[in-house]
Amino acid sequence: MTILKLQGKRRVGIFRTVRMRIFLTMGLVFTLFCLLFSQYLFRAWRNAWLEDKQQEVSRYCSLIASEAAFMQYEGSSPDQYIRTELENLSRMFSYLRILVLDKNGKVQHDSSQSRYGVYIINDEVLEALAGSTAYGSDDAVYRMAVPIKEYGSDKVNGVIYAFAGLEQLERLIDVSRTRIMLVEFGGWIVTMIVMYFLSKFLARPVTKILDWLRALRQGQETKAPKLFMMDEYSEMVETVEETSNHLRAIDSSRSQFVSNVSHELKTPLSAIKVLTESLLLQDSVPEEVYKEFLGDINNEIDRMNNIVNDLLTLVRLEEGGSALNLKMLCINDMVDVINRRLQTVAEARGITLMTDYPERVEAEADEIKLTLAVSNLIHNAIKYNRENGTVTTSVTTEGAMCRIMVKDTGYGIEKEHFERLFDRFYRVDKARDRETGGSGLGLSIVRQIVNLHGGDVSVESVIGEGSTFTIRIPLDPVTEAEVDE
Amino acid sequence: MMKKWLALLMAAALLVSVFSLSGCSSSGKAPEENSQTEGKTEKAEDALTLYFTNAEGTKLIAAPRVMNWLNAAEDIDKLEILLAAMKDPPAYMNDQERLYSIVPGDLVDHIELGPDDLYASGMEHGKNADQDKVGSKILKVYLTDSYETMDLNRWVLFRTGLTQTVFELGMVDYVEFLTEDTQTQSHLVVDTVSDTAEMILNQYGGSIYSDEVRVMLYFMNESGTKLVKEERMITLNMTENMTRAVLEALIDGPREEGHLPTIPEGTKIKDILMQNGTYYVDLSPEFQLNHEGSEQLEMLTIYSIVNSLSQLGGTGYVQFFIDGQQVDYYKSYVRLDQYFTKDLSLVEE
Repeated sequence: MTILKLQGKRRVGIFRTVRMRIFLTMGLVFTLFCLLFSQYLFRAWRNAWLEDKQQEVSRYCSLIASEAAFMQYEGSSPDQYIRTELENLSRMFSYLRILVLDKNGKVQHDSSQSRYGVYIINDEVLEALAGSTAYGSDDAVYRMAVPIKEYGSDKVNGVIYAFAGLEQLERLIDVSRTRIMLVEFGGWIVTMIVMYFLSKFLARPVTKILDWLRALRQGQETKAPKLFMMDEYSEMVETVEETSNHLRAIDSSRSQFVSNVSHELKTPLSAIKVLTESLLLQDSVPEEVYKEFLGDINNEIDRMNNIVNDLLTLVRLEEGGSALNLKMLCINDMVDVINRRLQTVAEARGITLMTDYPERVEAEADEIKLTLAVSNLIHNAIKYNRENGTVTTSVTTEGAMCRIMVKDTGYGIEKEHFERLFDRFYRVDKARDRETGGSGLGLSIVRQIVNLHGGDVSVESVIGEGSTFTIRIPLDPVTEAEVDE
Repeated sequence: MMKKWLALLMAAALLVSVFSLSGCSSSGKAPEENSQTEGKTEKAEDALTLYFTNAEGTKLIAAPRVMNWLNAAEDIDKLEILLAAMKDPPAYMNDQERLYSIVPGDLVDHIELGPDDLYASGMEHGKNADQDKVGSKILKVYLTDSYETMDLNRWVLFRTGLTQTVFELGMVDYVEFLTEDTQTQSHLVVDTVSDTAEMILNQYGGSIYSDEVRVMLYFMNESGTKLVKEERMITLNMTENMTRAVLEALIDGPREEGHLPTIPEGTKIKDILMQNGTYYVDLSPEFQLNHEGSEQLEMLTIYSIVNSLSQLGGTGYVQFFIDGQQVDYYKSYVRLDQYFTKDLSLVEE
């Protein structure tokens, strides 16, 4: 059940998706902006509009005043032409009320036709009577008093007193406001729709990556998504891809390893099986044959034993649990001891073990492990040498490193094998190799040990002339480490 | 610190008192209304509102003053005292503005109080005699030559301020301003102010553009034979137009019992134009469609509108449009392609 649950798609709440969050955040910010800005904009517009209207009123009043002057208004009921003009004006501007006062401040004309004969005396009228235009306003009206002057002189003959009702103006504004609001709302909706798709676009990398990871989890081979102009996301994908490849490589090397181990163990087992069965199935077998067969079986068991031992060694090394037991030792002496131990094996194949010590080298190392590594190399050099060949081991220093080179005069190794030479169970020549009885783990162990010492191992080879394996380990690993830090 | 507060407090008190005083003064001539009947001569004092102005002569500023009549034997003496007081503004009305007299030094030659015999008879005064003024008390203000060169605003200040205070005192019904014709040695009346003239003083907003108007509307009697009058008060606010208001009142219908509406239901005003004194009334098609017909009813509907509008000034001519178009016949009898003018023969006596 748990596995199924893990495998299935996790339910993601709609408001918890990246896309929704982007959309909602953008939407909220934009809406707030709209609300604040539209308020500000509307007010600015309203003020500008009112100012404009006031100017309009002023313009038309001045126009009427100058027309009245031209028509020689002398302070009685205004000329029919002017009256019609005023009538039209107050019809044109529904918010406008215009009075014409005579030189005593008496109303001679009223666009609403009601205030005839009333005297209006206040400082605005008086200022106009004194010859200059007066303005005034309160919460409800904007007022303006324009003098009607005698044509071509400063003599005042009357006053145009105009009122612009702000309430009436506001009514006009309300109409425009509704329109503005509609336009604004339309704009808002369009922007929100654009944002919705934009959020989809912005969240797409996440969805893509998620889909890709889901596929990866289910073990499908899927290509990493290509992300355009998204450096962080691309890096994320690359990192995940690398990690996944690495894990996959480890995984495949594990299974390779298991299959190799099984394979390696199976070969001697089947040999033992065949030998045993042939003995069992024959009724009268001479004693020599028994002995020969049992000897072969014994060999196979030895081989299995070798393999298991090597495996154990390798696993212990790989676990890293085996800490190095470092002490100062003379590498030259160590190589001599190994050569002496392998002397009999070498002699069996007529191979001469030689050393080349240009100097005496002492290094801080784990004696047992390094001995294992070097003897593996020399043993290999003997094994894969030609008859009557030589194995030369040289020990030198190279800066702060100790270099141990094991050179044989064997067949050589083709370059294509170099890379995998140190892998477990890797064999250059599979058929021939088994005859020599190797476990296929020797070079792996070498590499593991050298790596533990903080060094490296490399190989050079010329086909037909022989190969050279070189181990480099630091003379003083502690100081090296310190220097590193 | 205390001193500062005290000074502030005093300033506030001063301000309040100034406001309350000016508030009282602007309330006009009401308080002394009945004192004139109870024998004004016995009163030793009168609280009056005098008017002054600013340096530029662009404001009419009211200042209350208690007038002392101790040295006034006759009514004319009171007016002389009043005129003298008007020439003598209080030093400072408030912190901001110095007050100036509205009476230029050499403007008034002398004053006289009517009625004289000529007015009493109402005949021999020639062209200046005015029937309305017969039996009225008149203050005659004789002006010097400087009237001719006076600034208009100064003149309006003088004329308004003087008459307001004089009418408040309640002695005269008219104030006449006269100048001397140097050639004929006679006096000419250049201006007359009546105490019945409506005056809006130092007010700006609503009192000017909000108005209650008495209008006469014409509706139909119950038998549908004649038009009947109905008086109505109409409130006009700001830009509301009187013509439109009257027409709307007609469409709304009568309020008095026994009166019937004349305008068909559903009629709407499309527009009202006034061109050269003629009203052009544009109504919606319902005005035509929803009418019952018959010559009498058609006439009554048309003339209820024409008669109602004719009282509003202009030439009294009315032309009808239906939906912006001129039509030949209203229903089937009355031609609509003509100018209508008031016809009172249709009105019930």
